[in-house]
Amino acid sequence: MLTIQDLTHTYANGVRALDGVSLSVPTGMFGLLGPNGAGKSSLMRCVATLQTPTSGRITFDDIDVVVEPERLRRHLGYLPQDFGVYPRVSALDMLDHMAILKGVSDPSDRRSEVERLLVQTNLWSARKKALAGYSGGMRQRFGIAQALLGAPRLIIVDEPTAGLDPEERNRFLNLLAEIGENVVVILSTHIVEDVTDLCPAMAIIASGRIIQQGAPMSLVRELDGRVWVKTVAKSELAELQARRQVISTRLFAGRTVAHVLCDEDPGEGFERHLGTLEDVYFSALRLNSPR
Amino acid sequence: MFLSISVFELRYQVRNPVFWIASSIFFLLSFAAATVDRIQIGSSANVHVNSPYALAQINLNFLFFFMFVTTAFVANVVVRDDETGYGPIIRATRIRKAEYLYGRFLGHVRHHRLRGQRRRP
Repeated sequence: MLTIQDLTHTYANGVRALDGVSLSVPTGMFGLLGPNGAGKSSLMRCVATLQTPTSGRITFDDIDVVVEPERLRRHLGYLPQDFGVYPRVSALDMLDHMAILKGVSDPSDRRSEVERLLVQTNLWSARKKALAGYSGGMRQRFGIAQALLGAPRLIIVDEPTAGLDPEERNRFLNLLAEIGENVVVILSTHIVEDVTDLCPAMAIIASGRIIQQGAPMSLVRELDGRVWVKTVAKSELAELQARRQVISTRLFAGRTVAHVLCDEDPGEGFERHLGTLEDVYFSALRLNSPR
Repeated sequence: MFLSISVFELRYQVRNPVFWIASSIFFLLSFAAATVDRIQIGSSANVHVNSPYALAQINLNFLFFFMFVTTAFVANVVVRDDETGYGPIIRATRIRKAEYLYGRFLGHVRHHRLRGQRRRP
């Protein structure tokens, strides 16, 4: 179990990326949802011991992460948001090297683990190709393979599905779903479906603060009966936004569909909408945005 | 761990095209100095090409110029992770800084000996 208490991080240029974040992350898949620039990556980097937070505590089981980062690193698998690879090195060689760095020192153990991961990530046939020539999806799969080396108990994946085509994204999510239930997996993303598909627990972060957390199902249930939709013309939209709490608008076949948050039936041709996690996300952002 | 890192480093550097280019240039230079009469490094008309003096001169000259090549290779150890963007992954593993840098350094020492062998006339 990972516990984060009152974590604050201010960068040297004065940007306050994290502002009193407190979270407890149980074992299993945990989704951290937030818009770009919300502080997701800063939080992930703090937990991955890559930067020391300005203040606050992070503990993983009995390890104080800020004080003893080396101890956490023994149990850590980290896939950063975007990473490059060394030129002229094949996936097989790089994974073998990573296994050494992660302390899998017995050669036969190492070989079997590397081979198992290459098969699991469907990179076996491309294992001798240079990583630099991999496509985005293949590179991301290599990334998760190296994160899984050395039986980590805490796995951090930072926006892994950004920029993947739908098929590759599916494949990647399936890979994540195969990770055992006894480890803590933190998945940070700005794509709501990633969380819907995978995570039994989640939190929403915006402007460096956690604005909502819970189980996706119960968060959706809280919104049940409060979300109303209506297809409106573009010209009506501004007026509607002034009068009602519009949480999101989206286009459907060229027309605008407005989602409105309202405790009772607003009438005016609004239809009741079964809330989705996306509505939860947008309403949380909407209610917490400084206006 | 230390040795494995240096082996990886050695293999990585051997695949570097700059290594092959630099070593062939220096090999050709020393080869030419020993075989072509008009190219003289250390030796002269009155000194044998394989005389101790000429060999010492050649070694000295090449060592001097090869310092720059070596710097280019070894500097790569420090900048590679940030240059390629692979750094965060490395830094999140349990490897210690000293182990990693000296492991790589050892790889370079071995690599340097490889290069040295091609340089000897």
